[in-house]
Amino acid sequence: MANWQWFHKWGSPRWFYQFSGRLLPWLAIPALLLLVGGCVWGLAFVPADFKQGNSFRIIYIHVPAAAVAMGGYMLMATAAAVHLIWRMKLAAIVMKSAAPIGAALTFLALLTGAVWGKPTWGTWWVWDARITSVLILFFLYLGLIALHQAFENRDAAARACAVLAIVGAVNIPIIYWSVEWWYSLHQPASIKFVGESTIHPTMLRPLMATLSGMYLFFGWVLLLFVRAEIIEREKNTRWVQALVSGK
Amino acid sequence: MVFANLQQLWQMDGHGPYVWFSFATSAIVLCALVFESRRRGRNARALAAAAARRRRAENQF
Repeated sequence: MANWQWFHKWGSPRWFYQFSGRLLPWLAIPALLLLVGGCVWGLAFVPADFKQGNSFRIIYIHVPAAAVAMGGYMLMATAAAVHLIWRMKLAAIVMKSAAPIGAALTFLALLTGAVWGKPTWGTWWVWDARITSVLILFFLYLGLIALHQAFENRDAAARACAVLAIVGAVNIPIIYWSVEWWYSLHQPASIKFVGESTIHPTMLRPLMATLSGMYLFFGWVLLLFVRAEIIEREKNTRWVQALVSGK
Repeated sequence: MVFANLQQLWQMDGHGPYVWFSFATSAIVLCALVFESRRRGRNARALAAAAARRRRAENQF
């Protein structure tokens, strides 16, 4: 029983609000340093790509936005499953809070991808498997936001969104493997979990900086959204009223 | 720096508009996310403070 205490603690909005408050500066400061530092490094101190020229520098914002948009969806689907199985309130809050951040990052991935496509492929958009599946991810995020707003009952909204989030998770492996499964203008993954990455280390290092910065940024902003939602939902409880009254 | 001067950095051999637009838009979207999260936090606190004031007023009468 004692082993499950941590799980119950994580389910407490009050405990999570206090815990996340201590976590915020440890996410915000490294996130901003890595994002700004990685972008300056990638923009001004890395040599141009021998084929794409300087347009390749868009990689330092496009890849982190796309990777974190996918990672954020997986987090949201996991929170959805936790909410459906254990009825954990905090999981429903995380699921709802992750949707606008994921939508914004997917929008960025699509926009910067289109802008990168013009000088590289000669076109802003092609209906290839990778781009189309990322567009579906964007619509999934928007669908979740709209579905949540369509319900007056908060619990019913969370259950419906949880089902949609879990079903939509099938799109994530499709996005990842789309460049292997179908013919695409996109190159196969340059950074590999298994085997040697095909990107030169001088280009890879700033990319790792912006990628980790974007993950930390997602964590930071997600906590800010979650904390706002906790206060809104718990506004009639004594601990929140004491908190806002400064007692 | 791999560019000889700031003008070359800005132009990037003709790719400057694509690169700078991407980074500028990204900065705007990321800042908007931070502002929106803070706005929601402020609104939630204001709602909670109003609820606390109502409760105090009810307790007085």
